[in-house]
This record gives sequence, C-alpha cells and structure tokens, in this order.
Amino acid sequence: MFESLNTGDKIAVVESFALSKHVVIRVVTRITAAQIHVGDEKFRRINGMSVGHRGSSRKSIVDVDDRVVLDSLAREKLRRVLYEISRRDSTYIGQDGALKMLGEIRDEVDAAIELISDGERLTVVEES
Amino acid sequence: VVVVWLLERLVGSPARYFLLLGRKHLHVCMQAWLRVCLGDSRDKEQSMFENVKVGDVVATITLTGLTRLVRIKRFTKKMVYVNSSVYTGVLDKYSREDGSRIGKTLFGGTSLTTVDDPRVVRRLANTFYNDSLVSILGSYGNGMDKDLDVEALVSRLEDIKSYLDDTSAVIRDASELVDRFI
Repeated sequence: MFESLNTGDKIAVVESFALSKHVVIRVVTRITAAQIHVGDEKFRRINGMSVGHRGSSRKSIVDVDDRVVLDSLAREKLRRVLYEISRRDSTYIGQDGALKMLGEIRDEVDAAIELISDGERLTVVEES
Repeated sequence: VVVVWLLERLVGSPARYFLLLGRKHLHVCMQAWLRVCLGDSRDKEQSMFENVKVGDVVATITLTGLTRLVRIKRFTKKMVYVNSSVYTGVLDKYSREDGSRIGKTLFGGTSLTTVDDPRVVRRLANTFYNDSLVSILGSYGNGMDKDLDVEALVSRLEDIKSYLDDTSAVIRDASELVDRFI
C-alpha cells in the first residue's frame, strides 16, 4: 500500500477509539526503510508494507483514498454542519430572520454536499 | 343555595358559580363581578368587532411573549371568551382602530389579538423555525451516522435541504404558518 509513498505525499492518520475513529490528513515528512514520519509522529512499517502503526498506540496511517478515510471525513463534515445548526442563536428572529437563517443553513448544507462529493477537497491537509 | 340561585338569576351560568363556590378560581369571581357591572348583552350584532366571529382563531400573547392560538368560544358586546375564562377580554377598553388587538385579559397580563398581528406571525415563525431545527437535529444528529458512507451522507444532506425548503415555504406564508399551529 505504501510502496509508492514519497516524502510530501498526503496520508491519513487514523486514531481508533472504542466506538469511533478520528481521521486527520497529514503530510509525510520522511521515509526510511522501517518507518514513515508524519510530522513528529513515527509510524512503523509492518512487513515493509501495509498499515503503519505508531509503536503500540492506537494510531495508524492509511492511504487518503481509502474508503474508510473518505467516509469518516464525510461523517465528520455532517457532524460539523449539524453542530453549526444547533448553536445558532434563534431568539426573537421573527419571520424574516428565520428565513434568512434557513437560507444560510441551506447554503452550509449545499457547501457540505459539494465538499463531501469532492474527494480532493475533502482530504485537505490539516494543520498539525 | 340562595347565593347560587341569585347568581344564576343574574348571569345564568350555573357551572361557573359552582366553580366560584369551589374557591378554586378567583378570576372567575372577578369575571362574574365584571359581567354584572358591564352588562352581558348577547346581541352579537352590536359587537364593535365586525370581523371577529365565534369560532374564529385568535392569538393570546402573554407578557413574556408566549403566543397561543385559540378559538373564540363566545362573544358578547363587551367581552370575548376563548379557551377558558383566563382569556376573557374587555374589548371596548383595549381595542385599537386597526382592529389588530381585540382584548386584554382581566388582569392585564395577556393580550388577545388577531392572527395576522405581526407580533403573532413573528412569534409563530420563531417557534416553527426552532421546532424544525430540533426535528432535523433529532432525526439526523444523534450519532446515527457512524455507519454511513459518502453516498448515504449526501442523500441525508439532500433530505435536510428539502426539509429546510419546506420549513421556509411554511414560514414565508403567514396563513400556512397559522394553520400549522391551530
């Protein structure tokens, strides 16, 4: 999986929890025969290929095009959209205010759909 | 018994005065007094609010802005009765020329107004907006999404979008908005 991986390539760091996974897109900073460096973190190559693990931690690296990564990032995006909806102040907004807010939320949802559908934009490298 | 008989003679509403004797509702007592003082003409033709009829939906607004839609149960020259005696209004004292406000409760806390009053529309729009968002968050935001893939998520967002459109359509149309709350 990581045969053709080079320094500067994007990679997905997946942190597994009991019931969920947290995915972050990072850049590969250094590659050695035994390890893949992503920022300050070092991931071990297992049998020289396949999934890299960071020592005994629950973090691993996966290719950015992996289905798990795309689905997870898309779910995260949906969660953020819903969170944004939930924290809007809707006190005394009235008829015009409600229509304006609904329009804004609709725009956010539209943007989220566009983003989720575009794998390239979805896997933008996040600041470490 | 004599008191009840006398009150029934004066006003002709025995149930109301049995309640009065039950000591539970002071405002009923006050109403009785008011009705006796103001008179209780049942001639609806004399009403100064020609557009408002029995069965019409009107709105009550409390001092804190809480709005409810209620139907007019009974109408007299001086007063209007809605859901319960709490919302009895004294029309000639509190009406305005544009007819937007048709009464006020006996104790002055709650106004009675027509459903096209901008205050009512504003409040209903607010409530409907909040209810819709709660519904969206309840349906789509409680962790149900952990097994969904990209396609399913896009479809879910499309559902949310159409729900938002429906909500906007209702809020835009004041009469439709009122219908939702009756």
